[in-house]
Amino acid sequence: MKFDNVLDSNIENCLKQEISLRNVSCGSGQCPGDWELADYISGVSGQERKQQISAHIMSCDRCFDIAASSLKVLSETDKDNDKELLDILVKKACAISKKRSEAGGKFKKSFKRNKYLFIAGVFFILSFIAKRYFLQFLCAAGIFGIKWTMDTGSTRALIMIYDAWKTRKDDDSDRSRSIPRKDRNASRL
Amino acid sequence: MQKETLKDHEVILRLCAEGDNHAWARLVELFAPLVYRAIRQKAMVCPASIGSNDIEDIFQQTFTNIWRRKSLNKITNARSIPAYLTAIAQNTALDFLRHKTSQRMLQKKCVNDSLFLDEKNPRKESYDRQLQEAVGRLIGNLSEKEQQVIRLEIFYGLKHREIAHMMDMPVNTISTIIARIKKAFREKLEQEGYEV
Repeated sequence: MKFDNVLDSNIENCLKQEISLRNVSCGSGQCPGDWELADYISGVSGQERKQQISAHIMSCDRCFDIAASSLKVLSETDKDNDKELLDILVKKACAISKKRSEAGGKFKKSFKRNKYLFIAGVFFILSFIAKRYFLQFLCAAGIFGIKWTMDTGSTRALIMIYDAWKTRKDDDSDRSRSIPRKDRNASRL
Repeated sequence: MQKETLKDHEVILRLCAEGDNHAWARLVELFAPLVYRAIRQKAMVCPASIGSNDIEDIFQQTFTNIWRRKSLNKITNARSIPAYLTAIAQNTALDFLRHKTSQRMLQKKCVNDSLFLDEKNPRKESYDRQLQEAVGRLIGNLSEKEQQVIRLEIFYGLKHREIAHMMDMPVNTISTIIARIKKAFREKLEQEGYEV
């Protein structure tokens, strides 16, 4: 028993060095698909396909590693899993699908926000296509362009900042007018 | 009962392929322990390259990959679902390893992991190194098939039945090959003066 342990650990260490290099190498490009490999690992693929995949696995380090590791994992039990960490990970992973659907919603929102820009673009293109109404379409494009500029959140924010700055400036000038020059000098000191 | 469960899994997977959020939550809940185990198994092979934080990243990336894959609805057999998810987890972990560490760094780290470094006893360290080199030579002399059998048995820790399934060979043949290799190794190492 002792012999086996010493020999096995030595063999394992030797293989570790060799496999650590092989593992990172890429597949041959003729690897079986995800489901084909899964069927093979589960033992549900047909005899002919099984032989083909088996032959491939013997020559492809990546598939060999995936198949061997998967067989090992599937034969183990859950007893050593960290429940708390797993719960956190599960919550995060559940959010993946929501994030993806939110990403679709973001596109819709962005389109809705920029609809005037889109319309302006359409009119601009039309002005070149229908040359007879060139000026009319160009005007319409301009109007919708201005509408988009005024409607955009950033423009509104800029206007608000400008208003606030202007009001503050007016207040300052009013205050400086109401304080006599002597007092103003005293306050500066 | 078992058939019903498998059918349920298949339905869940198909719903996930259609973008159903509830089905996705159920799939994650069902198979998270398995995926976690698969990643942790890879981390145990090369602990210097995959830390505990990396396991979380790979876990997240694995499920993102599963969600993104168009192949979810190409399921052929419900029994293959665990193997499919495990294979994707293994694939993601391998990609992570490839991106994180260059081959040379990985070699260096894994060699350091594997060597019996004992700074207090340099004589023992030297002996262990020599023994390992001798074992490495013996492995190198084996045929390709024998190397794969011994790798599956010792490195991956597979049962003889599982090795037989992978190698497409009878279980008895596998057991005979392993016993023969170990016996030959022991004899040769003893001849070279190693205590094993």
